[in-house]
Amino acid sequence: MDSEINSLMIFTTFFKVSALTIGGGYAMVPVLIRHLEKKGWVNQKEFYNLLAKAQSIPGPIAFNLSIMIGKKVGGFRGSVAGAIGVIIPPFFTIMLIGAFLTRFSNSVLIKGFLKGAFGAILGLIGGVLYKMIQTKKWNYLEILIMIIGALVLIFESSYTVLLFVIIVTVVYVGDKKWKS
Amino acid sequence: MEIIALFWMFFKIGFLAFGGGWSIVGIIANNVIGNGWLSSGEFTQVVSVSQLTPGPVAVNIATYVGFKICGVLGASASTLGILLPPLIIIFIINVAGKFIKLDKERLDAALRVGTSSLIIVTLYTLIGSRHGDVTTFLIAAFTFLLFVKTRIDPVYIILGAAIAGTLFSVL
Repeated sequence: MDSEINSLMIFTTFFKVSALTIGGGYAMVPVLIRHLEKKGWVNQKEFYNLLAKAQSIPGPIAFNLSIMIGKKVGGFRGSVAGAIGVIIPPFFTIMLIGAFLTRFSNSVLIKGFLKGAFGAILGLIGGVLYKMIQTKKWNYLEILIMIIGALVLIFESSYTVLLFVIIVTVVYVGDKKWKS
Repeated sequence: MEIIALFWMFFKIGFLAFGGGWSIVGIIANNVIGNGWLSSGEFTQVVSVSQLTPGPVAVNIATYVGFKICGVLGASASTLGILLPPLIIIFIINVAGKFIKLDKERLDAALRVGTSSLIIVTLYTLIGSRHGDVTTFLIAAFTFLLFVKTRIDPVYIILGAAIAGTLFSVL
């Protein structure tokens, strides 16, 4: 890693991405990878590995991701800088203009605006899924488990955490056997 | 005392926030409306505002609900409440990681498989929600291609899509 990366740079990067991205934490994921790649802080494979970790624990993905990427590029101080950078913009924006926006939240224009943004977020999540799959070597059993796992999760949403742990454990234990 | 109640409610919800913020909007709705803090109409407005402002939707909802009920202190208590669970869990994992040695590459591979399943479920849930129509799916397909095939900053893609959506709603 570049030794010139300091906590302030990590803070400003996450602050900027957080302040500019509307549409929720999931929308921030594709924005982050573009910005981090451009800076050369992480490559695609590292990023999607960290994303998998960030998604494996409870909590907002963008927040978890900021801690993990911050830690990777700047140690403990980096993780604190990343987390604070992600949280400050929304925290103050909500309090400053939330009441103002509420007055318009039922307008046709705002509904259209949100609908368009929603379409983009669908496409971006699809894109993240595509990259998540593309940047890893898969064997047939992993693909099978991923698809069965998704189907089970769709039909039985009350045990998400348990089912997720089962999927990960099966692949972790199984991968050794399938490869040997 | 409402501040403590807010903190405690979002703290508990924070542990359930698994697989992305969208999955817990429903849980927050049940709690906030169930406690009589907001009406369901007010909550719908809170969700709209949380999508219009930057940041993770679940955190924005927590901040805004707290702010509506108890001002700046309420906003701080709710935001802290929803963010503390991941911090606690990351801390526990870091400590546990010193004692339990796992094969890192296999763990990465396994988490990728599980996470891919989760993202498929998220997509399925979002597509199935009432927001979607032909325009939305056209924008989604176009966005997907732009993200995968070009290096355009997705900030502009989202903005462009939102403006397109606004124009379609007027026409």
